[in-house]
Amino acid sequence: MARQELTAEMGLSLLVVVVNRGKGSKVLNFACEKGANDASCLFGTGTVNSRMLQMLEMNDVDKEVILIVVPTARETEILNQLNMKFHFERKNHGIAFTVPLAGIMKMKRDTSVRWSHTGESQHTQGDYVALLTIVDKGKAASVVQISQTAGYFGGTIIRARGSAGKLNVVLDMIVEPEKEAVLMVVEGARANHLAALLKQQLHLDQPNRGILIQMGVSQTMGLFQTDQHEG
Amino acid sequence: MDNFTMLAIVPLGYADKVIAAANEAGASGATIFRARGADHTHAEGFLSFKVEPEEEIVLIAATGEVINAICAKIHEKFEKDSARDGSIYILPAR
Repeated sequence: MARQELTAEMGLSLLVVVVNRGKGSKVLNFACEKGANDASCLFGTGTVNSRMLQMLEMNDVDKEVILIVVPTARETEILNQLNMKFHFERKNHGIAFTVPLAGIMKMKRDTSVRWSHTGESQHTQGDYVALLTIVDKGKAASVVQISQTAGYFGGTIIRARGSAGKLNVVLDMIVEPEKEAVLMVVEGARANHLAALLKQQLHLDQPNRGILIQMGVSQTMGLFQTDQHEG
Repeated sequence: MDNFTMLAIVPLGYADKVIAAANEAGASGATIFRARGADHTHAEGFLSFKVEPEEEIVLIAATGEVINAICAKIHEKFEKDSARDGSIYILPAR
């Protein structure tokens, strides 16, 4: 399929795919074949909500998170094609969801952000909400634990490093703290409750404790929330 | 209040430049992820090897005004003295 230049006017979506490690490159190649302009792949760790595996300490599954930018008009088509190839409708085959983009910019070419109006107006739609919690390294496990004990489901942990506005300069070295990001997809109606819970338990209202971002999701695939499983 | 999450996708090593620009424009913090991309210009492959360029993704959460300021600053920095290009995607946050 022809690759076309992306413009904000056509409405863009960010397609997020979470699959087991090893499949990431396949998804990336697939996205390229389908004409995606921009795709990147991050390493993550999934969490399985199974007591048996937890006891054996085998509940960490290596995952890959793929971010693909697609035109909103073609997102259903691309999701369906991905589903045909990677079978998200089956359990534990991965999940996929789309978040509408509000703006786009190319660093060298554009002088200012081109805000997409379709993206902005859409951001209250959808039954699901993506929660991204960024905390210090080591605390991601407790984020997952808090959400699982409260009856929510696991998430995908992605390693990151932080950069606070005020740089900590220790002995002339700039310290960049290690961070972990937890990506969770929850039902919209229960998202605020989980956000409040995390905020309270992790003291996110105090500075330097971490941040929590909620994003409206327009389409999902491969979520099995009722069956106590996450892809 | 209008809050947004900004994802800046740049080649490996350019994240510091983005963060420096963002800090100048008033961002309070940023998170950096390591990733690998699927750059279609290299997708043809070199001697049938596929090249997957390494990338860094900088995530910044800020209000719309600050994001606009950050983007202007980043463009200023990248236009003049950068060999490589990057993209910025902005997601609405609640």
